[in-house]
Amino acid sequence: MTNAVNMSNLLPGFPDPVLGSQNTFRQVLDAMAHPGRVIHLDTGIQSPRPLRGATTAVCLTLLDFETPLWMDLDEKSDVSGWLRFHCGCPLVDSPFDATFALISRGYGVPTLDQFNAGQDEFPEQSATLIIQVSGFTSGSGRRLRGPGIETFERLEVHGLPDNFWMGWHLNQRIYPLGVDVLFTASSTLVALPRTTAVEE
Amino acid sequence: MRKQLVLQPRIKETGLQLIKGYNFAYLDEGTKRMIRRAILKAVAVPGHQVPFGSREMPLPLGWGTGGIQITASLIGPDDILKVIDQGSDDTTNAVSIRRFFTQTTGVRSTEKTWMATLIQTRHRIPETPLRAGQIIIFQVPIPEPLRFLEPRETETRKMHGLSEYGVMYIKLYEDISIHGHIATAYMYPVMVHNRYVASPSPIPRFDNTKMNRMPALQLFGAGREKRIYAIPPYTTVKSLDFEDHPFEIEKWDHCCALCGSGESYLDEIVTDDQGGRLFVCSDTDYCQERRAVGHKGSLPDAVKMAITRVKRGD
Repeated sequence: MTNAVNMSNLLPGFPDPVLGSQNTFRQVLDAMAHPGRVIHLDTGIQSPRPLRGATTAVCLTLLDFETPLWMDLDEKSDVSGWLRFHCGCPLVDSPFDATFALISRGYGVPTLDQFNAGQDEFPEQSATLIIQVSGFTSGSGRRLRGPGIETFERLEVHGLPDNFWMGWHLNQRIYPLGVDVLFTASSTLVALPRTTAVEE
Repeated sequence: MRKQLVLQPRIKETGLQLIKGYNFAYLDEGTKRMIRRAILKAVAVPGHQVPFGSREMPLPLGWGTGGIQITASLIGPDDILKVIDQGSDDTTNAVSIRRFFTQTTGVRSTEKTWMATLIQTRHRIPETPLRAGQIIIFQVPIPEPLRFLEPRETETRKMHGLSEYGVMYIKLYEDISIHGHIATAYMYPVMVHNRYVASPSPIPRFDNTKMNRMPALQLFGAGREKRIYAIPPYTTVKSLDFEDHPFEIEKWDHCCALCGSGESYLDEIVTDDQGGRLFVCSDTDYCQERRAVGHKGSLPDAVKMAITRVKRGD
């Protein structure tokens, strides 16, 4: 955290910070209230590599000094300086200490049990994972059920390790504890709250 | 720039001015972020009360500050806001909250349930079924359904953690043993997603059935008690009951005197000191929409207009 932010190549945030984050939040809420639905974000922002538009918008909307962040990127990366400038979130070394996790390479996502799942009396203190993946196919693939879904939703998430869904089953079994996931791919977003049951 | 385009017509229409010197929707961005994070966790754990750093608002506690803070964290220039108080768009609480958002955001408001994107409510769910994509925000005085049975927060928190709700069933059982039926008429406890017992806020139990698998997102804000909870769309919400004493909603022997509806929640209005009274819809928008398409109640038209004026506070 001692590295100064390199201002010469720092990218701007939302053109309108107030309405930009308002609009993004509503899309994130829509996603969270309708798990498995692919939501298109109209962000219009430049992203520090290797982040993509949806990831950047979600970070700007939800992260600040109150949200310790764990990420799979180097502290010296552009993203680190960008996050410190725009969000001011503390970066933590251990996944367990994070309230948010930023995973830029979906195929390298750590097993979910490394993150804080909350406690019986405080399930809301669990981590939220922002996982950048390569894309979504909706209408086919895995079958999703749970609150927010009328009957079922079909979704395939591309660019995840094979063991992710095994980990998701374990995450389901400890409900109401468990982590929540926001998948991002280019300018699209899919939420997977802990209530969503996923079948092959 | 986009903001300005939306603001002008509404301001003209109401004669209200956009108040200068405040952020869009009054709250600062840090507070909105904190509330937004709490809302997301609330949606992820349906029925669980998420603590949040409730702020002092320019309305007193008990006037819907929890609902206002949620609405302020959601609202944007494209929204159309409806605010109701006991089913009415025209009573003091509804008017002052609607005015607050007009003056701090400039967004459009409506009385029509179907037209609204955000509906902030005190103590009712509109009769017109809510549709997918709408968000209803409840003002909640006491979010903890177990509070009257167990005053200690540490204990109620533990009871929720362990899903230990026996005490609530005992309360309902005592109702039956004393009154012969479950006498709880409002704030009737519900089981959300088969895990958390939650308070539906002080809505009449008539409205409880509307919560089950509602296509709209339901958010609950308690400003004084600093809690936010949520029920996502299509979530199972069951009013607590017993096999031999199933949950029942209120029924009336009357229809609405204004619109003739036999399906809505009715307010009783005392008309004289001779025992005279009549029943009218609590949901003013529903009642007016019905009358607009020709439904008639038992009252003569002149009396109906007088009652409408009284309910409007003219």
